[in-house]
Amino acid sequence: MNCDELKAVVYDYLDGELPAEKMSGADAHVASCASCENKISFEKSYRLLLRKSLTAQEAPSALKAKVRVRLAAEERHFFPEFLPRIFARPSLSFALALCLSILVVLPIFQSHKQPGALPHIIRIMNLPKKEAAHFLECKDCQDKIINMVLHHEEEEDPSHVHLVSFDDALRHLEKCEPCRRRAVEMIRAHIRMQT
Amino acid sequence: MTDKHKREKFEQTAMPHLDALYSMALHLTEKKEDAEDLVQETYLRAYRFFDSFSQGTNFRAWIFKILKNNFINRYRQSVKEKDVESYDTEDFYLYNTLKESEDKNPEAAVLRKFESGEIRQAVAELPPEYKEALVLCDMEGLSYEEISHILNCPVGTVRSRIHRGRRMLQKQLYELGMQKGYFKKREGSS
Repeated sequence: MNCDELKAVVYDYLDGELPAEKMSGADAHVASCASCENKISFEKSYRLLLRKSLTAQEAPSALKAKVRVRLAAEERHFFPEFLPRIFARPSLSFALALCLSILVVLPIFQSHKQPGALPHIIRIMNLPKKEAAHFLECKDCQDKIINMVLHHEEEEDPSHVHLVSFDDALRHLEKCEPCRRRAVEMIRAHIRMQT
Repeated sequence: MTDKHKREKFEQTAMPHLDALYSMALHLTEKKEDAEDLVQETYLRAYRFFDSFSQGTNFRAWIFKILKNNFINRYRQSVKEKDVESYDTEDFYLYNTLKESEDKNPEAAVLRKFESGEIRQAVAELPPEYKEALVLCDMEGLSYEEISHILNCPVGTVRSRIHRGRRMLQKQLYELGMQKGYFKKREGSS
């Protein structure tokens, strides 16, 4: 390897991305050429300084705690720790149930269990009524299919908004035949497993 | 796997990457509060999809990809695109320019005049796609292949972004060094 050949691959060389035989050729040239040796040595010092400056940013200690709390909340978001205490008092548990019905449950039912949801799924998924009804009711199937759609959308376009909901997933399945076919297979496999 | 076991396993796998993810988030968002939010969202999202992560494959690359996707979704639209052409330059810009002005081989000691904050600021000013690739390579020590997975682009694109990002950064640092008086002025320059 000569100076020009090294110049053409110098960053790959410094990043350890050259194939082994080229790497040893570059090493041999650097060892025998004072001009290239000086440049490489300067560049290595520069990179060391860069790495030192960029990595000296430890996460705040509170962040670790916040992450752990949010993960724990995610795990039990339907049954938080304070619920047993609330359920011990009938008046509070009744009020809570009422609030939940209004704030959470009703909007969910309105989103994809509204009248017309089943025919909509039958049409999009091209499924018999029984299988479409299973999809509409089965949280496991919905999660799996939403997950599949999410991964497909990420692969297709990383700049896309990836927070996929049930309705987003249906929209995706409507236009993506491979995903629709896989979704149908998933639903049928789940039904077979249950029967 | 129960939810509790899943969370324990996830924490065991994911928490060691917290500092690295926070550093990356800070480079991307440039604000501590935004970086913290981005990291928390990344962990939640990774946890939700942990079942789909193939055990035995590269978890670090996987969670960095989630961080990068979250960043794009939330922040990228507000990032102003920069004029890349205006500050592209040659390889070894610092070395060559210093050699020319000092008329001898530059010593690495001259680089130690920079403070860490000045270098971080110069990195922050790079266009996002160059900054991401450069930070993943030079800070995290990831391979071009791993970076290509995280950024969802071919290895050739990663290579060119890293190389170009480095050239831009060296030019910016040279200009900063001149402003701060870290480097001698070239003879004949004003």
